[in-house]
Amino acid sequence: MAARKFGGRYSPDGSDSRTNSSEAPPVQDRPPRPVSSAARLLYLAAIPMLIAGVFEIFASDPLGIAAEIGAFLLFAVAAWLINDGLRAEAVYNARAVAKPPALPRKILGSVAAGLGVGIGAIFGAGMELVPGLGLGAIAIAAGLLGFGLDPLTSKGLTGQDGRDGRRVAEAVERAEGMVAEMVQAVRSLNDRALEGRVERFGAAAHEMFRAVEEDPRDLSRARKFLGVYLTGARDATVKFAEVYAKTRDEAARTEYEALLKDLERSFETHRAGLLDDNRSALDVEIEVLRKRLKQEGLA
Amino acid sequence: MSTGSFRWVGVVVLIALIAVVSGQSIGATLIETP
Repeated sequence: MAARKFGGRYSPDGSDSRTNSSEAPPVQDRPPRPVSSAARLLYLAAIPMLIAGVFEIFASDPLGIAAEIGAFLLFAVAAWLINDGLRAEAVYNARAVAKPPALPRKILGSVAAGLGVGIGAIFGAGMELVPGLGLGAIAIAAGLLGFGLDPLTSKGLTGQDGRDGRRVAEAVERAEGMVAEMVQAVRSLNDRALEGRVERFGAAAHEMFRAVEEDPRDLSRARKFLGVYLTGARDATVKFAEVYAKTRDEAARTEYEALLKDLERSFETHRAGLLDDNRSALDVEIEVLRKRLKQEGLA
Repeated sequence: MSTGSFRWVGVVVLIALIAVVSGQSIGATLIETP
């Protein structure tokens, strides 16, 4: 893996003007950590099972090989599913309007881990059937207790049959996908300053998503930003990453950063507009209510 | 005990079960290997 030059606000060259750190807002919506420490421990704990499977090859025991390699694969799949499930849950929790993840990965991961423990105990460690199955069941229960259940219901879906909310959830999901593609494209350049710049743009976009989620009526007004502008920003980022990777053209970089800055500013202005609108609507509602109270002689 | 502590108990028990079963498997295989 290539070494990455570290750079940031507190680094020796943190004052690099290209980062524009003084003007940019702090990143509040950091993406979830790629691998949780518990999932990493699951991988590590399963490694002896892989070694046992390899020894079985020398012992020429086909049932042993199948059982132990199979148990190891189940543990690996469990760790992967649980890690993915934790990330999906973090995304779900961070959003005001969200659909449940398509696959209940934490539940499936716990079941896979339990199956692995059962198979490993019976066919690998030579336990009797009933105690082996018991250990498997305990492992499933421990997984469910430790990692919890996946979110199984939608949240924040309002309006007619939750249609408004579903539309918002879909629009925000698409928009978040585009921001993720932008971050991915710039990450390939191994340039911390640029990555930070795109992450800050992503944070501004995320704040806009949250504003829309909180009030789905804003979706029609925000659609242009979530769709057209973000698609343009994604396409420009992918193109820029291609060009910059080959040429390291500083002029292209300056232009790209200016574009990000403009977009970021317009996102923030638009978000402020949405909040102002909500405030005006609230003022009107309060005014109407006070008038009514006055007419009824209650105020 | 808070919910967070219960969660850790679950994670520790699961990891311990995987480690013990994996360790016993490797032990049993080594004993059987000529």
